[in-house]
Formats: sequence, structure tokens, C-alpha cells
Amino acid sequence: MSWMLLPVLACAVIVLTLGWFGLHVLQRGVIFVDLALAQIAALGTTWAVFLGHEPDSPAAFVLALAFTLAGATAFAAARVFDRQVPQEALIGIAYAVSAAAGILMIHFAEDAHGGEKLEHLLVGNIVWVQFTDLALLTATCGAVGLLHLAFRERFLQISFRPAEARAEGRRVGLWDVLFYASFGTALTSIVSVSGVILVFSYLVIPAVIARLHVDGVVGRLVAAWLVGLGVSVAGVAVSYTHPTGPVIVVFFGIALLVALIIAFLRESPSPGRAAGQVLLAAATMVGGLWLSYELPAEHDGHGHETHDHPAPLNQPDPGLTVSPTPPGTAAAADAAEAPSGTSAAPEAGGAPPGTATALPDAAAREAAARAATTPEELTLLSESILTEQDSSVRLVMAVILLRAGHRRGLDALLTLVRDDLPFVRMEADALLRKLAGRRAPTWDPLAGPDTGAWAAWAETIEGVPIGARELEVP
Amino acid sequence: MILTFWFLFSRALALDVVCTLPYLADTAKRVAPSANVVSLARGTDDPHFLSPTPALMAQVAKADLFVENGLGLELWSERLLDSAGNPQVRPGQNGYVKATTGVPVLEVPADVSRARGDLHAEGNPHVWTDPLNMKIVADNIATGLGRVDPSNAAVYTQNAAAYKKKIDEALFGADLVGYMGGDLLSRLAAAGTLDTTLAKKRLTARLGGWLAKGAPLKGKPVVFYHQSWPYFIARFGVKVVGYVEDRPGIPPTAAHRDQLLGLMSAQGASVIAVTNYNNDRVPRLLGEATGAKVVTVPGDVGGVSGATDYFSFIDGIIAALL
Ligand SMILES: [Zn+2]
Repeated sequence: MSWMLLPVLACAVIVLTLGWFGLHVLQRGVIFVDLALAQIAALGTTWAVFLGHEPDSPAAFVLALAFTLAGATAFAAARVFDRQVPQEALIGIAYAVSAAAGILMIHFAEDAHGGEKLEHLLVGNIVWVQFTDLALLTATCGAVGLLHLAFRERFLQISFRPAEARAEGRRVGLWDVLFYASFGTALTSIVSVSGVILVFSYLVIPAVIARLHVDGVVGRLVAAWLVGLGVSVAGVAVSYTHPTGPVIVVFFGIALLVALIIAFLRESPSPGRAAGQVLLAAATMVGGLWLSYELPAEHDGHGHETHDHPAPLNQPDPGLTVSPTPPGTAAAADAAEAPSGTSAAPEAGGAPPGTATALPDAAAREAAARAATTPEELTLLSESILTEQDSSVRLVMAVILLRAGHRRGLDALLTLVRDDLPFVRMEADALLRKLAGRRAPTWDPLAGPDTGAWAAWAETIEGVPIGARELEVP
Repeated sequence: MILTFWFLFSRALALDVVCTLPYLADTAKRVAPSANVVSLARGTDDPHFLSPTPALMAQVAKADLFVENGLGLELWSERLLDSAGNPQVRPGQNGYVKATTGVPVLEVPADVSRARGDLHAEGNPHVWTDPLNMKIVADNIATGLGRVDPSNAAVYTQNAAAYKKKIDEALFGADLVGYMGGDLLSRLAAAGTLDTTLAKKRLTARLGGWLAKGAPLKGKPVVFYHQSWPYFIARFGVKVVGYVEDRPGIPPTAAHRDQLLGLMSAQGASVIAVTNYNNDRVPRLLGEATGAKVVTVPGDVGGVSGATDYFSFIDGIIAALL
């Protein structure tokens, strides 16, 4: 359970902070201001990365904060145009423009990490929260919280009763800037820990539930905190094997649904009928889900449009390249006749043939040679050894043939001691030495190709049957 | 004036080869040194995701040959081919090469649905971290070049053969290649019997190149970020402790983290390898928790500053993991 401690503590700090701001944001009708401010903070970090700073350096933090404060000032100023343009429209525009600017900045920076860095600014994962993250989060939110505690009356007045504040001669614009700036500061540290979707849920859903059921600012604040804490603990607790952030958000959704149903039942003039309606709706939903679950799924019919290439197999010709041993010599003979597997024209409709390479080809031919046992197979082998290009494959073929008493195996070995590759000469020489015993010529295969020593020995055993059954296949 | 004209003329004559990835362009340049070879992705890009820009489309539009890795890696290439309006380089045509044709693919899923959120339905496409596969890629590119430029087909085959020899010598060492031949060595390595064969023939000491340099990697416990290294792992015998990324695009769970931390301490993993285009934040946290070293490995040619061609690319991976 100890793994839960840091995430739950982080959630608690977030709940306490965003519960308060959520009430304000709902009242002001600027639901998406958190998304916009988070995006603007990310833009500040991206700018820092563009200038060559690391995304988690102090310089990047200062720039993110500076961008956030600038955005906060702009949002506060936007309240002036409230009559012509809703503030929410300007906030949406700020979100879109700062997101686009961030992408362009990364494009110009040609920074490969950039995309992921920007993404990470908005996709934090609460499971990975570290003690230092928590400390920074608590310090930042604590400072913002103290500020709001000290001036709680003023902040409440400008959010809930702006007309009254103006009538009293308060400097509403200045307090607005302070509100958005402190909100943005808290957000900048929260988003890096939790990600932007979680922030949005924490900000809006507890406040909505509180407004549905409780009156009065203090009551709503406490209700929002309790809902937030309850959902957080439950979400973190069940999420050990599931992604934590998404689980918490879905739990918030369920909590809201329950709150809505309770509110619906309470508001309804006839609770009995309302309960029936709720049950009917629930039954319909569950039934629909069950139906969709029971319907046979089409796995390959639709959805994956990106895979139109008809290439489930990567092998141009399975007979040539698949590694398991081919059953007989027929495959080897075929392979020997068409060693490259290349044709000039692409097959109609399919992908053009690739080149079957020397690599799997030779392996298949060697495997076929090793598997040759019947007289027919051995006859085929004695044919294909004449055309085999790869000397090390020829070496294997030669021994197989020799063991079966085929004279062509000996001929092949006699040419292999003249091969370019020292290894092949060594192997062929060692095999011939086993056949020749004490009558083997003195010759060093490492010094160079044989110039006739073994050929001279071969003439002495012309017509003599050779006992090669004991020969070991290399 | 005449020089300029000659330059323009030769440019017009030269083949335009457009490759999706830097390692393909590096290979194509070796097989066709006189062609204009470009790579659409940079080494610092994530090859899975590239936004097709009009500039890339223009490259494809004038291409004589289009070379892609395939196997579902470049999810963006199909859209690019659709909009480029160059029928000669569409799949199935002479001007199209799927460079991984014939490469033995690892991790081919038994069932094709993407239930586990896997990015790659056709098996793991990151084949180029095994130098042996590069020989197949070189052959495929040479074949494609020969199709669109038959008069020089022999030259391309020759260049590909030279490149394959260079790969063999870099992988096994020139001495051993001279002694046993690259084909046999490649075959033994592909079958997984190279070590035992060399030991039996008392040739282990003559092994050079990457396999000798990377010998300490055999059995070395390493944590990787994304599952893009199975081919390198298979060739060099690295022991994979686990992956930082549980499933692509889904945040890792607390269970996954704890399991990884447990495995790392149990197996003594001292290295966490992050591909240059992945985010190293979570690996750094893991490194701080376990004392393991976080290293950046290039995902492709040009992924890190030293990896200027395929050879320095593999050099860089081995050096980072050692
Ligand atoms: Zn991948």
C-alpha cells in the first residue's frame, strides 16, 4: 500500500487547491481557463527548450511562469470586452493559438525530444510523482492558498459579486489579474504532476457536484473537497494495475452521475415516478451495453484503415526463406536452379518481389542436403552439388554424398581444397586426411590453395571403394 | 556556363531515390552513389509519427524510386503516396521497394487485432538494428534500382555486394571473414550457432568487429524504453529486464513500475536505454530510484550526433550499452 502514499498526498493538495478555484471558475463561467493557462505555461516551457534549456531547469520554470502571468493579465483584461465577446471565446482562442504556436516552435527548433516534451507537459502521470515533486507542489499551492486565505473576501467578491465590488470602488481589474496569476501559478505545478485531463476533472466536477447539492460558499467548498478526496483515494486504491489518471477521471464521472440522479430524484415533484424513469434509463443503458458486448466483433473488417498493404507475410516465397527444414531434396534442387529468386517484372497486384538473399537461400539448401537420405534425394543432391555456388554448402553436400558412397562427394572435396576460403580448405583437407590416413600428402591448407597434392593422391585410389561411412558432417 | 549546364543536365539524369528513413537512404547511397538520395524522416524524428508536409509530398512526386521499411512502421507513408500523385512509386509498381522483404520478422502477433494496443500488427518492424538484416535490405534496394534503371543493374548488384562485404567485415571482423567467408558466418549467426561453431573450431579468438566489441553485452541486463530493439538484442545477446513503456500510448501503471523496479534490483540492471526520440523523464526517475545509468541510444542513422552512417550508428549503440 505504500505506493499509494505519494499519489494520494499529491491528489489531496490538488483537491484542496482546485476545489476552491473550481467554485470561482464555475461562477465566472470560464470553465476552460485551466486548459488555456496550462497550454500557455507549456508554451513558455517550449520557448525555454527552443532557447536551449532543459524542460525541467529553473530557467524553463521561470519562463513558464512568465508566460502564465502574461496570459493571466490578458484574461483579466478580456473581461472588459465581456459585453461584445464572451470571455470563454477568448480563452478558447488562447488555448488553440498557444497549442499551435508550441507545435510550430518545436518544428523550428528541430528538436526530436520536443514533441514528447511538449506532450509530457500536459500528460503527467500521477503514479510517478516523486517526493521532490510533491514538495514543490505543496510549496506552490500552499503559497497560493495563503494568498487566497488572506484575501478570501476580496476574491469571493470579485468572482461572485463583481458589480458590488465595482460599486465599492474596488480595483476589479487588478484583483482579476491577481486571481488568474495565482491560479496559473498553481496550475503550472499541478499540471506537470497530474496532466491536463485530470486537472480539468479536479477543477470542474467537485464544484459541479457541490453546486447541485449544497448552498453557501463554505458548504460548497467543503463538499467539493470531500468529493475530490473520496474519488482520489478510491481511484488510486483500485488503480494499481490500471492507469491511475484515467481511473480517477472515470470515477469522477460516476460520482457526477450518481449526484445527478440524486438531485433529479430530489427535485422531482413525484419521487416514485422519477425513480421509475431513472431505473428505465439505467436498464436501457445496461441492456444496450450488454447487446453491444454480445454482438460478434468484426476483427478485420473495419477500423484499421492504415493497413491496406496486402502484406501479412514478409516472405516473397515461403519455400525459399522459411527456416524449418524442407521435407526433401526437391526443394533444394528448385532452390539451386533459382538461387536469386529475382524476377524482372513485378507480379500484378502484389508487392514487387524482393530479392531472396544468399542468406536464407543457402541455409535452406544446406538443410535440404543434410536431410537427404533416400536414393532419389541423393541423386538429386549429386546433381545440385555441381551448380552450388556457396563452397561451405558444397562442403556439407560433399560429405553427405561421400557417406552414401557417391564418388562425386570425393570430387567435390578435391576441388574444395583449392577454394579461396582458408576455412573451407582446412575443413576439406581434414576430411580428406581422415579418408587417406597415413597416405595423406604433406600440404598446409593455410598457405594457399592446393596445387595438386590431393589430386595426386586421388589418382592412387582410382577404382578403390572408399569407406567414408564414419565421416562426420561438418 | 557550360559547367552549370552540365550540372543541371547530370542532375536531371541522376535517379531520384526517396527513402522514408535515414538508414535506408544511407544504404541507397552506397548502392547508387550517383543517384540523388533523400530521406524523408530525420534521424531525430520518431519514425512511427511524421507529419506529411507539402515539401515531403513534392519529394515523392518526382521520385523514380520510393524505398520504405514497411511492416507497418511508417504509418504516414501511405497517405504520402496517396497525395503525391506519382503512380510509378505506388506499392506493386516498379518504383516501389519494401526494403524489409525477406527479412525474418520477430514478434509477429498470433492474432491480428490490436487488443493489446500494439502499434505493430505485422510483427516488429525495427529490423535495422541487426546488421545481418542490412544485407537483405541492400539486396532489395539494388533489385529496385535495377528495375527502374536496368542499364545499370549490374553496377547496383556489384555495389550491394561490396556493401554486404563491408557489413560482414564490420560485424565479424575482416580477419575471420577472410578466413571463413561472410556467407557462412552470416548463416551461422542467423542460425544462432556461430559461438558454438567458433569454439569447436578454436576460432573464437579470431572473431572481431561488432560481435567481439559487443561480447560483454551477452547476458547483460538492460531496461529498454520501447520494444524497438528485439533484433539488436537477438544478435548481441543482451538480456532484456523489461520495458519502461508498458503499452505504447498508455501511461504505465503503478503495478508496472513496481514490477520493473523489482526486476531491476533482482537482475542487477545497471543500464536503462532510451531511444533518442523518446522522452527520458520516467527513465531518469527509475535511474534515480535504482542507481542505474540512463543512456541515449540512436534509433536510426543521424539519431545522435556521432551516428553519421550505418557503421557509426551500430558503433554508437554498442558503446552506449557497454
Ligand atoms: Zn515501434
